[in-house]
Amino acid sequence: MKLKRCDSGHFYNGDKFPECPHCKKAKENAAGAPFYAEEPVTAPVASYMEEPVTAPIASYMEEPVTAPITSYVEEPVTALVSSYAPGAATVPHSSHTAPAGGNVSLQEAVNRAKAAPREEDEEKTIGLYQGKSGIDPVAGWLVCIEGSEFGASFTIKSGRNFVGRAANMDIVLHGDNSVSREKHAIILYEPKRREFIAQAGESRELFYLNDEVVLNPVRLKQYDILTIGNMRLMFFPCCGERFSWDDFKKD
Amino acid sequence: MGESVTVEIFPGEKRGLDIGVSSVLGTRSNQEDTVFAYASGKRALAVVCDGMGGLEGGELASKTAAESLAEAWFEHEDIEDIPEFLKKQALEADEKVFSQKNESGESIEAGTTIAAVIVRENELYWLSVGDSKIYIIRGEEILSVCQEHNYRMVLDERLGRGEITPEDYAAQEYKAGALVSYLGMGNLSLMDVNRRPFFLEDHDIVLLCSDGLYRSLTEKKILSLVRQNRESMKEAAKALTRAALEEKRQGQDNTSVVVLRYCKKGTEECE
Repeated sequence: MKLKRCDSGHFYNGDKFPECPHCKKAKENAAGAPFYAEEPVTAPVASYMEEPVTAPIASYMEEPVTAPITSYVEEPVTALVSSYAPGAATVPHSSHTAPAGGNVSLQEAVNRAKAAPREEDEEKTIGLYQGKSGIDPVAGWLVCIEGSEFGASFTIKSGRNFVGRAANMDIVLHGDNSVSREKHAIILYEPKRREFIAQAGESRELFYLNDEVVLNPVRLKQYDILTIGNMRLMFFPCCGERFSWDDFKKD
Repeated sequence: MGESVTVEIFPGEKRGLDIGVSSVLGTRSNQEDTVFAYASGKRALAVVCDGMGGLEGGELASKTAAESLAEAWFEHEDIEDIPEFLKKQALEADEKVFSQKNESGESIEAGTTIAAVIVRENELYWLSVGDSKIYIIRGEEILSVCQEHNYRMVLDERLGRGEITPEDYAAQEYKAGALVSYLGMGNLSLMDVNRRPFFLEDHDIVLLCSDGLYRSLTEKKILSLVRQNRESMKEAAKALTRAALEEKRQGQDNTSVVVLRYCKKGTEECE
C-alpha cells in the first residue's frame, strides 16, 4: 500500500485514492459539517473515514481550565531518578493496579514483558569506596560561577562523572538548553594517582577548560574553570596529595 | 458551545486488528488531546497525547509529540528493536516539545503525556510518559500496564520506604496529581517501556486513554462497555467517551480513547 500524505496532513492510501478522501469529503460536507473545525482534525488520519459522528456534549462550560506548568513538581524528578541506575530510561515497575478478575496469568504476562532488564539497567554498580556505609565519598566539586545554576555546587565522585542536562546524569546542569542532555563532558577522579581529569563527552557539543577546547583528556587543578554550554564552573578538589579516603580504609 | 471531534480510523484491511478511536472536548474550550491510530495487516501504531499549558500550548505540544512518533514509525519500515525505538522517539519528542516556539517565537512552555502502543504480529509494545493510561483487556479482566508518573507515585514510594509519615502524606496530597514526567520537560528520563514483547492472545483488547476517561469511569465500567461492544471497536470507543460525558456533566476534561482488538485468525469477521 502506498501511504500518502496530503497538504492538510491526512494520511491516505495512495493506491486506492487519486486524491485525499478526507479533504474531498470535507468539501462535499462543507455546509454546516461539524466534522472539521478550523483545520481538518487535530491528528493525522489514516485511510478513509465514515460519516461524521458527534457525541452529546454537556451544554454548558466552565471557565477554560488550563493546567499551569508551574504545577509540575520539579524537585521530585531528581529525587526519583537518583534511585535508578544511571543510563536507565526504563522503569521495570509492576503495575500497581490489581487485576479485576482472579486470573493471575494476565498480570504475570505483563510482569514478564516488563522484566528482563538489559545489562546496563542491572544492579547499580557499587563504587569502590561505598562499602558498608553505602555512601560514595566526595572527591571534589564543581561550583557554578556563571549561568543558570549560579552558586550551586556539584559533587564529583570517584570514577567517571557524566555531565549533562538529563536527570540521569551524574552531574545535572538544569535550566540551560545549550548543555547537551547526555554526556556533554566527563569529569573523572582517578584515586590511585589522585588525579582529576576532564574528558570530551559523547555529544556533538564542545566544552572548554580555561577557555581552551577540551578534545583530549586534560588534568584539572584547583580554580580551573570549565565552560559547558552557557555555564562556567570552577573546580575544587577534595582529594589530592594531602588527603584521600584511602587514608581511612580499614585493612 | 463545545464541539465534539470524533476521529474515525478505518484499518487498511480488517484482518488482524480492529481499531476504534474517539476524542471529545468535554466541557473545555479547546481540545488539547491528540489521537492517532493506524493499522495495516498485522502492524499497528496507536497514540494518545494529553497536552497541557497555557493558551494553545497544550494543543501544540500534544500534536507535536504524536506527529513526531507517527512520522518516525512510518519512516522505519521494519524496526528491529521496538522498545529502543520507542525510548528514542520519546526523547526526541521531549526535545521537540521543549524547544517548540509559538508564532511570536516564544517558548510555548507546555508539555504533554504520551501513551502509545506498537503491534507487530502478536507482539505488543508500549510506551507511557505521564498519566495517560494503557489497559489490556483479556476476557473479563482489565489491567492497567503503566504507572501514573505523578507526585502521588513519589509520595507512595516515600511512604513505603518510611521516609514520610501518613500525616506528611496527607499534607502533601493536594499536589498528588502533578506530573513528575512528561514530554516537554527537556530532560526526560522516566518512562514506561516494556523491554520484552507482551504476547497478544486471540480477542485481546488494548485500550489507550487520556485521564479524562479513567477519572470519570471505573475500570469495571470501562470493561463492561468494551465487552458490550466487542464486535466493533468503533462502537466501543464511542460508547466510552459518551459514558464519560454522561458521567460528569460539569468539569469534564478532554477525553480520548483508542481501542484495539487483536484477532489471531485475521479473517473478515473479527469475532
